[in-house]
Amino acid sequence: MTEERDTLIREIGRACELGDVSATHRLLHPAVVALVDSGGDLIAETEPVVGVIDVAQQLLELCRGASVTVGEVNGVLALIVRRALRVTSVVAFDTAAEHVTRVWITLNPLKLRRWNS
Amino acid sequence: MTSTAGLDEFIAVRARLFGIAYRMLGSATEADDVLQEVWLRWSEYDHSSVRAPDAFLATMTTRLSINAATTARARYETYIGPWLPEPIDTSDDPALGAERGEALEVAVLLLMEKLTPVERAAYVLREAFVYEYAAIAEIVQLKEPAVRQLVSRARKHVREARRAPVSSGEQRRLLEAFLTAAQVGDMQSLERLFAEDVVSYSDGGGRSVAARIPVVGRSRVAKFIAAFSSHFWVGVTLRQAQINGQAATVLSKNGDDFAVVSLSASAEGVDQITWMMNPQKLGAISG
Repeated sequence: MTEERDTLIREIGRACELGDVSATHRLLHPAVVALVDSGGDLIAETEPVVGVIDVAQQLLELCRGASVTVGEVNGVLALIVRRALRVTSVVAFDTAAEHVTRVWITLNPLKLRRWNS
Repeated sequence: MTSTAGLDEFIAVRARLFGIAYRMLGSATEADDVLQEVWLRWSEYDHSSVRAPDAFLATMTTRLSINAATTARARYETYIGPWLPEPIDTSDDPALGAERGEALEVAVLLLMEKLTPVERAAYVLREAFVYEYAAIAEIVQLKEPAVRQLVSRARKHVREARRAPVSSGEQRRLLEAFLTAAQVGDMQSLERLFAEDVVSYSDGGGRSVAARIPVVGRSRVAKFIAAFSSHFWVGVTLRQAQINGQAATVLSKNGDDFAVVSLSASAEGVDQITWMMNPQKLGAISG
């Protein structure tokens, strides 16, 4: 089960880094929801992002032109997004079978401080 | 005595103390603050009076974390947008100072936010650090049976929310039953289909029915769905569809597709309903 989940997260990491829209769509559950913690940055999304199309767009924008690595975060695999060597976002997932059901995006710079020190 | 007396004992259990505080608070920054406070108090303590420094330090850390969690709770209520735990790199220490990697995943930390600080402490000490119930009772200053109850309640809360999804056939059946009840505004049937913590999400699309704010909870979602039953469904045709191999239903009016409804469910019932109201996004659906 963990193996299936790890494979799924590696696949979504690759799809996001390559900007592969259809692969990203394929990996998301139709009822997928993404939450973005920006720490109150008004430009960022403060409402949940809902559905395959919007969540994929959110992920792909986040990763466009960035380096995306898969690493162990909070005990499970997650995406670590870097721009100019700085971590700009950490993305955690919840999955069910072969789909991502939840996406948790941390953009809040205060919560990324340890990643850049 | 210098101020570094007791330092060795503190350093020996530092990772463990951090593991407790982080799980309790979902914040490495706040966990550091707690550890700072623990160190200050410990460094000024009469060490000769402490029989088991590790247990003593864990107790102090847990109690200070309970206080910090109580204060933090008020802060999250004014947080703009979703609050997520501070992500932490565990590549060097997958269990983050604990015996087991429990109570660490973002999914579980978010669920733990709904527990009271004392429940959270009992859950963390038992599940991640495998403490005896008697030891936890002493730390949180409750009787052992009460602690057993707290842990079992917390476990149930986390397990139920992380339940296995139903098969796609069952998902289709639930979706059909949901739509039937929704169209006639049958509150009772809707409530029977829903898990207690069901959430209805809409993507907006500028339509009145698509509340931008998610609606949460069995009776509130049922009420919300039933409230727009009368006008919303008039002249609407339903068509079965698949998105990524999952059951969905396309709603159309006068030959135009205007929304797609899908849901996720477990043995507890429907836990999430998603309304995609934006017509230009409907290209991704196959019939």
